[in-house]
Amino acid sequence: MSHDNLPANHEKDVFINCPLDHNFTALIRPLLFTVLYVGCTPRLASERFDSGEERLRKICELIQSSRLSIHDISRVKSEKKGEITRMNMPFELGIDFGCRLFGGNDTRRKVFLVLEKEKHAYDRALSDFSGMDVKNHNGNPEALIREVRNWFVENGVASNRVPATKIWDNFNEFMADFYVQRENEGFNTEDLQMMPIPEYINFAKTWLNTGPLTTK
Amino acid sequence: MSKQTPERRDRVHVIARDKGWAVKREGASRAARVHDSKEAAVKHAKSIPKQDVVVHRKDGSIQRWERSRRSR
Repeated sequence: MSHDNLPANHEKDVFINCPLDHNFTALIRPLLFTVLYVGCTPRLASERFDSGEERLRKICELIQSSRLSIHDISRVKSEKKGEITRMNMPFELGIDFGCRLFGGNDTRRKVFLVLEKEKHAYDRALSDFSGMDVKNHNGNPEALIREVRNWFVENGVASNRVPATKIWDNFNEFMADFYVQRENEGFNTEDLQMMPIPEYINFAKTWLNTGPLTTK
Repeated sequence: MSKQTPERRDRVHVIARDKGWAVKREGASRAARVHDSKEAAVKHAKSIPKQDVVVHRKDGSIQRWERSRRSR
């Protein structure tokens, strides 16, 4: 893709490559909140659903059009006996890496944050990646927010004036409004747990733009 | 959880920290105090008058919401 073909918001688009199942909800919600908090746009394969669209083509398009990427490769290690290791995340990390190396002048400016659950767990599963700077979050959402916030600051995307603790506290306050408003609208606990990611993103974006709820 | 949305300033949150549990009034710039245990944090939060107490789980979701008399 030539520079001229890149979308205007390319600089603040963040490709999110992480598990999208229910077990990862506790981490993806604070992750998306942090991306929105610093004024960036999360880009995920699940942002739009079209059965006629080829998934891999969509992922490549998102990778190519996002300068920033967050890859969570926690699932390279199975949690229990018999569980199949998820290969999608390392695969998409590889595509992104290739895009940066071979995609031309503009994609050489791509910046990645690679996350894992336990420190150096990836070393054995993805030894080609040894020596790269990979951060770990121990499955803890506050730690994840801290790593993501620090990465944005280090890369000049976010101000260093907002501490990670403030984002975490704001996320907790946001969750209170999220549950109250949605329950008022008739959503039950399962609806809230299984809420599609684009819907969650829209709610968080509105909350961050307009401020917390007040008594009507 | 009640169906009425309270005013933001009338909530105090019990929030997980890396080390302990924080009690934080909504809108305050920092936590009032960080306790070693969740129980101690909830007790402290409930001692603050005229405030709803929102107790969070470690992932930030809502474990329970205790209404103050004023917001009922």
